[in-house]
Amino acid sequence: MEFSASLGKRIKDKRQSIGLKQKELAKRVGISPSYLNLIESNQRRIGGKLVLLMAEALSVDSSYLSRGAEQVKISQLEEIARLNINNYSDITMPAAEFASKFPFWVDLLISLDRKAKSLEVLIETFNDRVAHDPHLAASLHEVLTTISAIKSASEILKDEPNLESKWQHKFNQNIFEDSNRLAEGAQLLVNYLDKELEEYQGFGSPQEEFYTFLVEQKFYFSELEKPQNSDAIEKYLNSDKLNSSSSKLLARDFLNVYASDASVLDESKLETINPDVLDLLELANKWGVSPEVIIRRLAFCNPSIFDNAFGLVVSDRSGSFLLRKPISGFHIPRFGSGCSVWPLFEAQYFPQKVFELNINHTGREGGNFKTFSFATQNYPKTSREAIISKSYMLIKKENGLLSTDRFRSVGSACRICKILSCQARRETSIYTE
Amino acid sequence: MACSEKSILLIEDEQNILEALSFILRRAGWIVYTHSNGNDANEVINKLKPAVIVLDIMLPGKSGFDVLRDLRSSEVDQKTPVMILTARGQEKDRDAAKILGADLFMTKPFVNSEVLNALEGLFDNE
Repeated sequence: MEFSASLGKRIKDKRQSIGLKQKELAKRVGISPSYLNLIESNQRRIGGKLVLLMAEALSVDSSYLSRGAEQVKISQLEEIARLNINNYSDITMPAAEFASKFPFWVDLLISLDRKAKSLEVLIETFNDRVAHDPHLAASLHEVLTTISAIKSASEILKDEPNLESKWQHKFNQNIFEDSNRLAEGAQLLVNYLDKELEEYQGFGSPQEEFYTFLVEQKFYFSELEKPQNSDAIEKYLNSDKLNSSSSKLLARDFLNVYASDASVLDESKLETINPDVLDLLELANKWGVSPEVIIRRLAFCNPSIFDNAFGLVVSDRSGSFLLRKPISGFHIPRFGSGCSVWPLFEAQYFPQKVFELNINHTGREGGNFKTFSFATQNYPKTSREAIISKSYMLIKKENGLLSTDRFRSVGSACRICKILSCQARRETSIYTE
Repeated sequence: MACSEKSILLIEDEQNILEALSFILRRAGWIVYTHSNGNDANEVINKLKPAVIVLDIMLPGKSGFDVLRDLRSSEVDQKTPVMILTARGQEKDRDAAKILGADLFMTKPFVNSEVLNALEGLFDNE
């Protein structure tokens, strides 16, 4: 306890000495101001990772905040044990003792853990792409087909040294053409795979162009917050990220809804909302709007209002994602469907009802989140038409320490999920291979 | 359905692969027919009645799986041997090919002599 008490005070003292507001420091390390307040007043303990983030944000060495660098390492060891060991009674030596006796092995363990985390990012990203990206699958198919043509023709030339000249010429020509195709295809593939997760070129589907457009705008459209700004939508649609008419159509639909939401629920109302105590139905009744308007406004508003505290997933009845706004620690697959135990999908069976659920995401960063799920349903006018349903899942990080019994454990997709005993699993996990 | 002459129908949309395969098969004494589209592939099969079929999965129009499904559902007595030759080599594709009634499954890139031997084997067993 003595260590934690010093840490909270050190953070506060350093922050104040450099004239940094609590809200700003909280934003830099990715937590809420209220949680930072709890840390500074020694009502919350924090682990190695957050200590390191605090040190970086305060421009100090991490050892300044802790009692020596070894304290940080002890925290990191404890974090590694927490994430990787099921039964704490298996640990026969406290982390502090282990660190003092085997400092080399501690450094090695921490270094390997860091590498493992970055590899998990890579696997998660690539697996997502390879498994579900139709463009990547088509590109790989094209490359393999071209290689096959080259291989077959070159085998003929090799196996038949006395081949008639017209056939020699024919197959040499084919190899030349296919080699050029292969070079182009391989280059496009490399470019595609090298791209940052949030930006694609060359193989962009309309959905990806639209998503890149949203990310570029940080999911916030300030011009649409102003009333009766009819030119604003057209100006946004001129973005160089929207190359196809299909992506422009997706963006136009989104922006129209955004503008409509902003007109009935402006930023001044949003600023009165306490994100730590959310009652969507109460807010919806208070302002005479539907809960999905509240959800969209919380997700897509000026980042400074809620410190980007909210992520969002929107899906249709088939489970396809219509919209996604990422949030740190909660991986949302780019392609395919997500984890079937997300409350997003349960909400579809009970339209117009708000589901509030705490979840623990078991991904590489993971963490605890509060979710608010709500589904809308449009009833058809005739019996031939379909019931159109859309479900929303608003996601908010919960940094407070809560008992894990109060959380539902979820992943992002079966293939990369650590919950091996999940009843809803639909394919094997890489963690069993 | 299949005839006794050593004839083969290659259903593949990649022209250079068709040329290479046609060349080696003709050299080995096969009568070679080619077709590059999935949509009317079954009509072509009914018309030509080849002894053996080589079928790609990713075809313009109807996929190779659908062509195979329609072929098997139309056959009454004798089945025409079919080899799937595809760049899609995942387990699920092999399983699907087997379920739909393919006799052989080979992935691209392939070795010419292995394809030849496999097709000779299919013809001999027919």
